[in-house]
Amino acid sequence: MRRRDALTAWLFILPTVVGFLVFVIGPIVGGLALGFMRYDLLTPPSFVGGENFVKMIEDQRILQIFGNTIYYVVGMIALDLVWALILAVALNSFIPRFFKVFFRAVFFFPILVSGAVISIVWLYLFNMDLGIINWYLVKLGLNRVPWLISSDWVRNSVIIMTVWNGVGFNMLLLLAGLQNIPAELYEAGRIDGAGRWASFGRITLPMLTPVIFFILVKGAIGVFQLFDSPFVLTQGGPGDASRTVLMYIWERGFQVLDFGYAAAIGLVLFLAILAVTAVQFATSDRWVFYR
Amino acid sequence: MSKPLALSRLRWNRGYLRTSTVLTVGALLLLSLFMAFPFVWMLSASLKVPKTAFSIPPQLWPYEWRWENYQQVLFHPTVPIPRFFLNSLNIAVLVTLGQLITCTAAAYAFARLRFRGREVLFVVLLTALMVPAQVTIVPLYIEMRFFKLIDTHAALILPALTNIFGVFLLRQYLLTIPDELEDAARMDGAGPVRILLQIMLPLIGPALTTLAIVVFTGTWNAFFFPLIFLNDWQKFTWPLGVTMLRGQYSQNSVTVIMAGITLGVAPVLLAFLVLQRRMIESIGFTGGIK
Repeated sequence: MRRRDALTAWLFILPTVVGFLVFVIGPIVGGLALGFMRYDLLTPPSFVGGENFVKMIEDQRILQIFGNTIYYVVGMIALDLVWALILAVALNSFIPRFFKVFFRAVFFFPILVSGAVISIVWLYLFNMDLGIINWYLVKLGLNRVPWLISSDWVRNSVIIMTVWNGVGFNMLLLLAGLQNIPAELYEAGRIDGAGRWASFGRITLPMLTPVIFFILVKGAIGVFQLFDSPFVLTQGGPGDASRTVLMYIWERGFQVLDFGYAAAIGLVLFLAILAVTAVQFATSDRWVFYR
Repeated sequence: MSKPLALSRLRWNRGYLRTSTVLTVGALLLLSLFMAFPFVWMLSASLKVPKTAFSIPPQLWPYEWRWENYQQVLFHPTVPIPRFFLNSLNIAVLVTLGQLITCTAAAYAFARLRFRGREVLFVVLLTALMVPAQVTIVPLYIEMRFFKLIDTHAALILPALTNIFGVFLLRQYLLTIPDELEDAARMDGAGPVRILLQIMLPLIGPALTTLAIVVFTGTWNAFFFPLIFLNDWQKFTWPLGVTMLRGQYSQNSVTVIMAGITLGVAPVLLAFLVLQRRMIESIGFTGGIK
């Protein structure tokens, strides 16, 4: 029976293992090789050693593009976390149940809509002269903001739109985290004379650190591959002001057909994700609080 | 805890919280206006006469209702929006079904069957979670080209038929099911396939729903992979097709583009209204497993 079990088990995991080998391991190995080659699809690939990596160092655009991506990673995760936390705390407070269900649905819904598609709507909202956001800003006595046409603003606009699109997910995670905090802790805090802010800082936040850690790790891996929203909102512009690494890989590979170079950038991006994740895990025991 | 004490505290809480409740609800109303606004604007623009889409001051309620925008986008001579829907639906259904099958089978093997190398293999597979396919898109594209799958739906479906995250999710769930159930069935001579189908499957329903919802919406909304792998208009998925629709029109036709987008958002909204609780619980469930 043992043997029959083992056979069945291997049959059961076969599709997953094949998929893993063909679509995960294969591309990783292929990417490692391709990063050291020149290949344009038309002529056979040729080995060029470290040429692609030298090219990367000399590439004037690389620094800006990696800089943008890091700006997105930091900015988006920070805004998302604060925004989601405010929503979750508000939803967890003492408000009528009807409102709770209603607000939760409204805040969550945008995540179900394709970011690329809803970016088209934001494109019109962000319009400098005709957009409705600027119209309201002027109405409030403020200046028009060049949302998508100024190199200084454009990354923030991409961040606002993308976080708007996805904040509902982390809101739900944090809400679940809040509901898991035992009420006795707050009771004990009150007996010790802790006020609202003290109990938030000393009880709520520490108890949420496992969820926050999860959000940071997942967020970094996700935002490092940002593509859809800047692709539709700005096509990377003005200039390279809002271009991400993945957009650059797409451009070098699928537009210019410099596949070796695109694969090499992919490798560096992969190493960057790996390094950030490793640092997050290595520093986690200093601030993540596990019960 | 004694009853009188609990009651008195409740009363105290109510009196204390009344003003702050009103303030919180007010603030949340403002926030939800902001969250819903892009959809409101989209719907309003989709029903307007093109010239009035950007009228100043902004008029959210259309002067005259132009349903023709929808007609125009549905029966567009060169951009086949209904085709895009069918393509997206086709891909999302196949991917979701495929993953439910492969993930259930693999998760069952990893959770409940004994075989050599089980733990090691599982950890190796988990590394896939760290390597997003976007990062290896260039070699993946060349691989697909080698298989002659460029510009086919198979290029989108095949890599998505298995999913390590799904295996992980279902495995965690299967591990919580007590051994006794399985042992009893074994005594009666049931093999692993029967145990999986007749005993495990009914018990892991919630986890399967979660996986189905996450995978379906993710596939339905995917933009990057269709952009890379598809060339032919007729094969485009809805998100890809709609963004290309914009390129077909000038700025003046924003109303028609908004009609196209609304047509795609409406079914999602309807599904959400029906499945709201299920969906929201699902996400909380995903996050609960770390």
